[in-house]
Amino acid sequence: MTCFVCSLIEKKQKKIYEDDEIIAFLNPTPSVHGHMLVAPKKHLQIITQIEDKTVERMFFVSQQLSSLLYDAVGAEGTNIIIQNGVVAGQKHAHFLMNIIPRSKDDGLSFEWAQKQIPEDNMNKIQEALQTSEAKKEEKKEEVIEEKKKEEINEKEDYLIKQLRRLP
Amino acid sequence: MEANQCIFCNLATGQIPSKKIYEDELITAILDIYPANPAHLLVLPKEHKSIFAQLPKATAERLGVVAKKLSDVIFKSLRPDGMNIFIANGAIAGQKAPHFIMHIIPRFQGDGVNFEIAEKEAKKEDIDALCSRLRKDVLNYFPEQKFEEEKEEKSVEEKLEEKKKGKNIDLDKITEMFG
Repeated sequence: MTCFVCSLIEKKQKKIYEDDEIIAFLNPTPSVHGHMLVAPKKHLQIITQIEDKTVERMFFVSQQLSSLLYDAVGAEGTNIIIQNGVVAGQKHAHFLMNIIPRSKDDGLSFEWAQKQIPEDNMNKIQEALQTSEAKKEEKKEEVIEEKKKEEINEKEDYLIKQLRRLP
Repeated sequence: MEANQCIFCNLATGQIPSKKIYEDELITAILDIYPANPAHLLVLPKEHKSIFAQLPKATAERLGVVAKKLSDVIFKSLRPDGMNIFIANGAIAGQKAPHFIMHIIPRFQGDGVNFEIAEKEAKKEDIDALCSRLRKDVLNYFPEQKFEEEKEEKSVEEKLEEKKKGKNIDLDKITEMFG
């Protein structure tokens, strides 16, 4: 079975941007007028499969294209939405970035209810996810904190010495 | 709002403590304390900007790589069924704070969160008009872009006309055969 998105890419239907890696076009079945799609040319399903430089390009192009919608369709806001997996709302097995212009009473809503998560669980999640970069940064901060403390101690020592000199 | 009064600036630069997951020179990612789902992350640029369009190119690009990297980390450690990446620009789009935020939301079967996007039939003339407008606009940002004329779907009348012509040719051929 051919992929619906691949066939749109091949036809270059309603294309508004293209380079070696990616393509952007108007959604043939838009949620609202001006709904754009940005896709990698390679048939890949989710964000983790896409090369770094392609993801970078997709985000930059999405940024530029989203800013066109304010003038072109009189948008008062925009949403950028990525769906990875059917549970997340993904309809085609081809990675897409949705750029959706928003205006008053457009009938769209992307809101969610907040969940309460106990502090213990939050800490466990943080531990499980924390990247080496964040750990490094935290260590750096600790070193700086310690240095500051040392400096303060030295300062205090100095003050105490001064005091002792007083007759 | 002044940058130094912005809660998210202070979270991004560590002035206010948070549960940090990732940090580089441009961006910080923290756990949302009011999450849609467990491990809902807020990705914050350190520079105070309100919407996507205002971010420098390097930050916009980095957001993409960070979205990929952190999605991968969450997929591997928590095994969710899916992942949404969500940006709201403007109050009308659902933006709650005056500081740009990219949400990374792990998804689980039956979690009650919804990022379905409705599909509607569009009028061909509306899409055609917008497309030619945007092709002109896009040249301001990407002047190297080239657009060839699109192959239009042929109308029923045109198709019938072709069929007729085709038949004529066939008939001619057939008559030629008889000499």
